[in-house]
Amino acid sequence: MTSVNNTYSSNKLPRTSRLALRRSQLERRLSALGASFAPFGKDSSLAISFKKSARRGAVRANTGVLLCDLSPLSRIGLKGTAMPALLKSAEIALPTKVNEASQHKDHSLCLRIAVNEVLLLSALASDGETDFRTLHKALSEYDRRSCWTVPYQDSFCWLALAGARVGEMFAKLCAVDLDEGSFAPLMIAQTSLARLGAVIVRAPTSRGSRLPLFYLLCDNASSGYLWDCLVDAMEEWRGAVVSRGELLKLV
Amino acid sequence: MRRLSVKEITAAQERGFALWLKRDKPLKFRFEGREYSGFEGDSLASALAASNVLVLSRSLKYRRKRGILSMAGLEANTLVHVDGVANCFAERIPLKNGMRVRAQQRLRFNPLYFLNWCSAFLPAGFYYRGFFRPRGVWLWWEKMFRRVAGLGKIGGKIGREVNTSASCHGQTSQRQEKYEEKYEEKYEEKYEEKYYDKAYGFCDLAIIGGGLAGITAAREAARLRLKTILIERDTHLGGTQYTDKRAILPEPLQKELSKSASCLRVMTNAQVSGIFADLFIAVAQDVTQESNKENKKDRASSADATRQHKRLHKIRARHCIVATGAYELPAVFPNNDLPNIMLTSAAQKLMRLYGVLVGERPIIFTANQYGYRLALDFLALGVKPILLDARRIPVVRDAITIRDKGILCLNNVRLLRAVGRGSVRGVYVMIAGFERFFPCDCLCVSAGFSPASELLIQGGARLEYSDEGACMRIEQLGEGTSEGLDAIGAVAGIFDEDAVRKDAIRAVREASMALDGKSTRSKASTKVASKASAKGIVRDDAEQNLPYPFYPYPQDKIRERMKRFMLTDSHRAKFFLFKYRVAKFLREALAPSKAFVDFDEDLQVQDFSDSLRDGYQDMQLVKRYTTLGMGVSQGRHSNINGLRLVAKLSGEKPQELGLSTARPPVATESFALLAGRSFEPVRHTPMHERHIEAGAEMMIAGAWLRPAYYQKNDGDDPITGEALAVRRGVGVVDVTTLGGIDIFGKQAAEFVDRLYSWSYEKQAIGRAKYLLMTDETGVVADDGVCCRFDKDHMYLTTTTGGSDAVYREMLFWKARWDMDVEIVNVTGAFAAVNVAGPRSRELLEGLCQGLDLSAQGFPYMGVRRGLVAGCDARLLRVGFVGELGYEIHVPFANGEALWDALIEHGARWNLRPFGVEAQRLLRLEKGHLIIGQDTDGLTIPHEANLAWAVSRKKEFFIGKRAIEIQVAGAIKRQLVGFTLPKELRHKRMPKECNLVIHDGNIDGRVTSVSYSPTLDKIIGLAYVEKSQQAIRIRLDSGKLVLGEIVPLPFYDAEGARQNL
Repeated sequence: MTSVNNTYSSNKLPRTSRLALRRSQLERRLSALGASFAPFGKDSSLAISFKKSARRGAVRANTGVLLCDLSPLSRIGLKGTAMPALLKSAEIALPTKVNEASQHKDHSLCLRIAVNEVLLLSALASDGETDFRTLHKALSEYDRRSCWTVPYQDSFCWLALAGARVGEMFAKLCAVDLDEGSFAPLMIAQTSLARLGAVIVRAPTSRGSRLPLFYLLCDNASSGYLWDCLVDAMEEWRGAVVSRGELLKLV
Repeated sequence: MRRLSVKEITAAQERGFALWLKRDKPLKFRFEGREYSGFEGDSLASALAASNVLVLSRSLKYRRKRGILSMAGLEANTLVHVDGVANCFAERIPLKNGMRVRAQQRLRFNPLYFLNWCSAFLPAGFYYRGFFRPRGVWLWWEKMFRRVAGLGKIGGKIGREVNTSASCHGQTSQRQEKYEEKYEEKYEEKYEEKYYDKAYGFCDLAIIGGGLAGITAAREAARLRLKTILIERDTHLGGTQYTDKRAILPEPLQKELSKSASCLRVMTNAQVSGIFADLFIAVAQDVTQESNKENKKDRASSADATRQHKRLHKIRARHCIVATGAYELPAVFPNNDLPNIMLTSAAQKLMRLYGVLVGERPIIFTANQYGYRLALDFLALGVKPILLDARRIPVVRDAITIRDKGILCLNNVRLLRAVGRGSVRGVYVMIAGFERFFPCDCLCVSAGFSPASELLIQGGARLEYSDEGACMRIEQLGEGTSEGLDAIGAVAGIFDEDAVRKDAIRAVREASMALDGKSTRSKASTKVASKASAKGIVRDDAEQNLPYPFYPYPQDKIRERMKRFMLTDSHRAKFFLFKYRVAKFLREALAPSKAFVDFDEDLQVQDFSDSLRDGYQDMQLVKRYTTLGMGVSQGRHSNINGLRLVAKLSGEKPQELGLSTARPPVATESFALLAGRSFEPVRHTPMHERHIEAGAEMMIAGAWLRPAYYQKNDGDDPITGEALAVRRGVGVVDVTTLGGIDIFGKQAAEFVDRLYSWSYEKQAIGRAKYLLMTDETGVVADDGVCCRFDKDHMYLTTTTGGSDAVYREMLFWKARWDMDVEIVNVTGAFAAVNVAGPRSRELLEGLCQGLDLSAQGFPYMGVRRGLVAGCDARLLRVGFVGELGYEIHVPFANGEALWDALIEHGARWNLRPFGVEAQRLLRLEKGHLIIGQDTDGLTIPHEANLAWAVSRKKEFFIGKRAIEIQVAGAIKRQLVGFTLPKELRHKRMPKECNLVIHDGNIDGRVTSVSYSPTLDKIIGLAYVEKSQQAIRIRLDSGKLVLGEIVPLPFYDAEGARQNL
């Protein structure tokens, strides 16, 4: 008779209490790079620094590519015929065309990915708790029968890519011309990246920064695969993985 | 050959020698086991030439010694084995320290050299004409010919592994392995790992060719701010412009072009493989050097920094200018393949770029200005060549210049034959009817040029042989399929430097206008000549080419002399003839002389005569019969000469013979480059790492990886253990991979009702219902569960592999029916686990907050929302495995936390994670189907016992009509359950897809089968005829086993366990 004794005791696994309730699929990869994490938002954690990466990041930004995991930051999707009206009531400007984005006072982005669908990204400097306050207020007051939230917070991972060679790096993975000159800030490409469906938006940067910054959103379950593809692609320019704080300083 | 000293170059008082060489960086390498030296900037061929290594290979058929011919990396003469990689062109391999090189055939003494005397028995295509009888014998001969051909061996460890695994003959592969090891040991050769990837490129203008024309065009394009890519095959830009006194040297040129970096991208070491529809350009680039430059500051010492890196670029250009230049053509005369007989461009390249003096007593045989230029180069280095001009009247200016410098220059010269054994030692020529011998150590030949037009042909250009220019000419370009394509420089028949510059500027301006939408194309403008001549630029290719560069021994001269002798003295005439024949016989016996048209395939003039004699007169047929242009060089040096020869022999005009087509790839490419880095997306559930940590064996399920089972070290079968754990206690399985689709809107229920076969419009909120999707032909397409969380919110699950297809189908039908619903694919948004087993309720009660889990509060097929281990969850009480069970769906990022909580909390109830294999066994016991495994592309619901899930009352659902029609007819097969005695478990266990046999005929197949530890017998599902009571299954061995057909399910027929 086969034994059914449980050998999968908690001793073999890290205790739940030590880790955040919400975990990025990339946490282990970041940990392997020497990341230090800090609580972020209600129940997430965010990489705040990497061993040796700060110096490298600043150097590499001008000659190569920087990669940053922003998955713990807030994002939300809205879908439905009443979406424009809801955004209006939440004082969020809806981009006039599909595949365009708009930036708001708080530096959050509104990406119009279909006629009746938007994806809202919190600001890069977000604290993870106060994002989309006006929107949530409007949602609670609104008749939700014609506008629905889409759980992009979970279905999409969110990566940021910055640096002088990002365009070239994208060319190794994607058939859309994402070169700085061809792909202006606030433009969106919904395309296939390393054979994986992805939403790519060129984010505006601060006035002083001349580095192009791209946000990349793709299937969360494949985020590890895509991360490995990106790391491999940026290896050519000795790309670096940086924390959000380091990225903020550069862009 | 030798390397020029610094003193000699300085004394030459002329810039432009050893341009690419960096003398301060010496390098060592080995060739055929001997050590040689070179410098950075050298190519492998130039370094060997500088070390006076003249023979690099043996020819394909006759094993004749071969050396450098073109210095362009085009022909098989210079194919070598470099660091374990076969078939590398020595001219195109930049020299590296420690490089290990060997020839592809035995160089010093080749026993097959005797074939040189057997050419009469080895006509073109002798192998397929003579070795096909008796039937089947060719397979034996083919192996031998391939082995003898000497086309390189796949070397190194990786190559050997591939070879041995592919071989069916163990002994042979072992022998080969030993041989390879011995060879490796001898030459210390190691396979170097390379990295291949791909990249896309985008530009307004692609300029192919970085010679004078390409560079001029690139400069103009940069000035006009066009987004341009300049693609050059060599390591440096410049092409042959080193012969132009106004040319810019490589380094200043590179600097100048880099200033325009924002709009101009220069790709060196990049070979365009082909131009496809809509100017899609494939480029193979060796980016090793570029990567090294990038990485130098960071980690020059790192092994990875020197790893070979090749890339396939896929460039989308809006306009393309081809400036690929022209191939220099050899003359055809006896022994024209002797080492150190080379093209004038090769000699000039060796001297100008690599500082290699090709000969101390050179002879130049030419029909154009380039021979004269080479003569001046020799003179500048203190070497006086002899210049033999094939033309009756050379260009006066050139002749005067040469004669003023004291160089012997003779006109109207016919080459009779070259002589020499290891290399050329002299040349017999005929001048004014007299035979003369000139000793030499190098013979440089230029019989004309042929445009490098392969890319233009691929781009849709039309080429024709021009009698006027004695070469191929582009006659139509820039319209139809070749729209947006232009040609400049030598490829367009323009050789004069000033004209080339003008033409390049003209082409870029026209491209710029076309890109701005300003150009209006007239018919005349599609002709390259017309476009150029409109700007006062004329083709001068006629000045470069010999119309018929063939020099067999002039039989007419012999006949003439015979006649002369016959008039005076017939005995003397007979003696002359005898003397001539004996001399010829002895000469041929000692060293057979052959006049080669195609060096790669060892094709002689005689082979073409044979072809025509055998009735193959069309150029396409001649090509296939003789294998003209089917070698490595793809006829770059031989096609035109072959065409001229066939025209002469057949008495037709070359234009009437037709042309062979140039197909991609233009140059040789490795399969590795084409395969490159492939992308295969894989999806991991949030608990993936936990599964690995728990010893899971992962299996592929669609794009996902799922645990098949968890390895344990107790020696028991893990699948059985996991199944029993679920039946007796509680188990947990990761079901994140199931598809999830949210449907919102007023018509959500109606939408689901139309898509699926059962009835959902009246489905109660908080209830789940089985989903069965059929396609328009009534075939079962997918299944799942429909959960109604709200009046206008349905949450549907799908099979793991079916979610994308179902989602697409839904979008299609939503648009078609124009319904007020919103569909959101939430497959990746939720992680899900199924907690199953009689103790599952107890386990969950400790983890759920605010949820009544009792049988009444949360009955079977109920759905709830709540908090599980602190995570917002959707709970489904479903029983796929036939036990009390809860499917918990939480946000994806909470998946691991939920799993951890269940494992930690479940220890009290001996919770055991189970994998897909155990899950499949448990569902089989319960008689539940897996769509795709227990159904196929023809199964309708009634055949699979799913008639209960098909609503009869509904007016419509997709596939209803088709099902009705099929049900009205006779349903011939039925999915049934069968059992077999447990004794068959180890030796005679049927497999899925084993056939069911009835009266000796195939009657169906087994779809699922497994040993059930709960029931202690083999159970399975199979399609059989309705009327059968027993089942006969044919095993792989051919034996039949008899099973009993039993009613389904096998386990818990009343459903008491799942309804707990």
